[in-house]
Amino acid sequence: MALVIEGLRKRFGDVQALDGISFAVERGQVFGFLGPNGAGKTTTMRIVLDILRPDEGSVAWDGRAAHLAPRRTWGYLPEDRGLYPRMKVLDQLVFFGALNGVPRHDAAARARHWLARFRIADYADRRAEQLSKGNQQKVQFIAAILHDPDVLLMDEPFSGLDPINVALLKDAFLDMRDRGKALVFSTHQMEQVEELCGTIAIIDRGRVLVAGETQEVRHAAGRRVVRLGVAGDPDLAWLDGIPGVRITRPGLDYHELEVRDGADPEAILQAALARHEYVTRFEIADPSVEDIFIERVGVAAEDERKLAPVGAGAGR
Amino acid sequence: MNTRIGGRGPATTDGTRVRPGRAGGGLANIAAVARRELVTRATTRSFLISTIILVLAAIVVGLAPVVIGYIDRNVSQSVAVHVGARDLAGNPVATLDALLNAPSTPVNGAAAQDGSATSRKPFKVTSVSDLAAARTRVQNGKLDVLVDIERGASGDLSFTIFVSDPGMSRTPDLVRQAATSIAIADRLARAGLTGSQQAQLFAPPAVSVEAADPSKGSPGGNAVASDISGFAVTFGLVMFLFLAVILYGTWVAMSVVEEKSNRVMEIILAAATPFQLLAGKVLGVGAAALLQYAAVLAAALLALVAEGQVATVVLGEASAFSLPQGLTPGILFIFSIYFVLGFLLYAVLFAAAGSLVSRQEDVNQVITPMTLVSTAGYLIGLYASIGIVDARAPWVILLSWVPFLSPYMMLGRLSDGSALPIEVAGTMVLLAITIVGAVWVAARIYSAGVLMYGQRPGIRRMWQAIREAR
Repeated sequence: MALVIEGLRKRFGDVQALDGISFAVERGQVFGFLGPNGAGKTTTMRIVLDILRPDEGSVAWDGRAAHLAPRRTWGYLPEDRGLYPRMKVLDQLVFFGALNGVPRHDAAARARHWLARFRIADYADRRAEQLSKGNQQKVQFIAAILHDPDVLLMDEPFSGLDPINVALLKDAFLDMRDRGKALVFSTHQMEQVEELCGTIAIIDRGRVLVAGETQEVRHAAGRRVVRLGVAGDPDLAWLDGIPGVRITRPGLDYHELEVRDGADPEAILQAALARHEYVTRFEIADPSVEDIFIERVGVAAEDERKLAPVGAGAGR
Repeated sequence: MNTRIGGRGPATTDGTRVRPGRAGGGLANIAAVARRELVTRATTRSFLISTIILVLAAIVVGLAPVVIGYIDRNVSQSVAVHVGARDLAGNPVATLDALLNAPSTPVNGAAAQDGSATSRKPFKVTSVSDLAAARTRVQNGKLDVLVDIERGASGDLSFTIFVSDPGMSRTPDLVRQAATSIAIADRLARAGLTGSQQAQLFAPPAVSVEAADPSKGSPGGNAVASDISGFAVTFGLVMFLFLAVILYGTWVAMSVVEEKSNRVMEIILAAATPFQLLAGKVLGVGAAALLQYAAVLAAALLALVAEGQVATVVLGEASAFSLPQGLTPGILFIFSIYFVLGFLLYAVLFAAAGSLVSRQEDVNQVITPMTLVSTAGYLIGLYASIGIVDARAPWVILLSWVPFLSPYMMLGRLSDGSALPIEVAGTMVLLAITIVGAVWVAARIYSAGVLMYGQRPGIRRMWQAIREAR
């Protein structure tokens, strides 16, 4: 195991922020670190980066205590992002590179390369405050990876980005994964988790609720989700007649149904066909990460899920 | 030859750089932080503008004598003398010129003429022969004062002073004093006394002012004068230090808070230790401060050196150049050590204080303790240097050993001459030790403080921070 986190405990005053967090991330793996706001994600990352010290527990990289690993092993994109507003973009990147041991001229060349890749090469000599929020975020991402770290920790890397920028970032992301980097990121956007993360952990109140390979986690939920779309029938009111079936998530094109143990998903399709309806979608699947997240974390997180795309809030 | 000079840090033989975690690369990180701080500070518009203003101010102060001379020259009064009286002993024009321009103490006209007279003359005295025409010129404002000297029936001289507005001018009074001297000289001449006898009669007595306490200052006529300018130098240096501590100390605190409010802090903390950040920041701001101070000092020195030439050009008269008395290389050397140490101590504390708040508006609140202590040291040092507070009082000596106060107070005691070399060295060592301790404490406050948002800073919170810090 490349990055091994074991039994982290951390208390801030009266709050037990971490209560025995353990997980591991391999090289070449993208690890989705999920949890409601305040679950302990940011604290965990800060401990991994040696910004905070845990009360108990350990972090190891390649079998050695993490804080002994060279500084340039680590890359960090914090949730509270910041740049020096009046400093030129290129100057900032060179500065952050220098802090991570990249010589100045080298850092400038790398920074220009990345700025071009993210289509903001023209902004190299602009002050950070002159950039849009999305562009600033890309600069921050470059700052985190300029020194080509082996481990990249990112808190909400995609929040506030438009789809094109999300695609650019994902691309860079997967590129790093393919080059054998260990990536850890937290997000509230579950589609991205399913798309990018080979392994996940869902934590709440400082404890790991579920962890493992994404597919397994979904499968291990032990139930199936049926997605059914029928043309010209937005309500699917007749489903009430089938025992053990309930609409959990109504949608425009299709509805998501929960099929309780004992009920047969096939019966739903047969019922629909028997009604001579035109079925546009029928799917039997493992529950989504989002479903599992809500299920495990509880209804308390419901409000935050709706706010999730904004992604703001302290992750302590 | 392909020799690399000045490579970054030691590279081991197997090519991997030994950099054990964040503690390693410390100097490089400190340098990077300091460099950023210096470059961004020194290129801001406010820095450039304030530097230019300060440099101009320094030049004006340096050239003050010339400037004052120039202003005085423009407001000089023109005095015309018409001598109606015959057989007048001596030259009344020269006498009036000498009496009006030079002396603050009435002496014989001829005696006042020598060396001590300044090159600038507030009065221009000329001789006229046409009384009526001169009166018209006074009426027109072309001439300020017209003095008519006649001999009355009794044989005594009589003076008539014509001015455009008799109530407004101080000049008639001055001329009246001069007239008295001329009249007395005239009477003495008529009584048969020669010029040299008169000079003897009016020669000023020897007067010297000395301190009652013989241990204070060196004996001799010049002691008081040089002490006074020595006080002025200490006054300036102590103020210089105080301004630097408050002004640039606030810069340091602001800069820390800026990083916190920008949320840049967390990125930097992931790459550098709080100690490296703190050290880099203090050194960087310190370098910017020194840069500004150096520019101001250079301008002031240049102005002082060029004063003679400038005076020649502006006033058409030469003026002698001299450094302020008491500003010896020794004092400057000691001052610069106290300056650097004092600045470092306060800057470190300002940085720690800045880390405790999250918003720029709250900075003033947390730096108040440092500002108060600094002000106290400044005032006592100042009062000791100008004699309001006895620099030899036991409590002053005791307080001058307190590291937060000693830069100010030792300068005050030095100007008084009461500070022993061992005390200077001792307080410096104590100051250096305190800086090390302050850095240790500040780095701990800093490391806890920088991740602390929205909490009210207090003694308890600070203590907790020091205890919890890694």
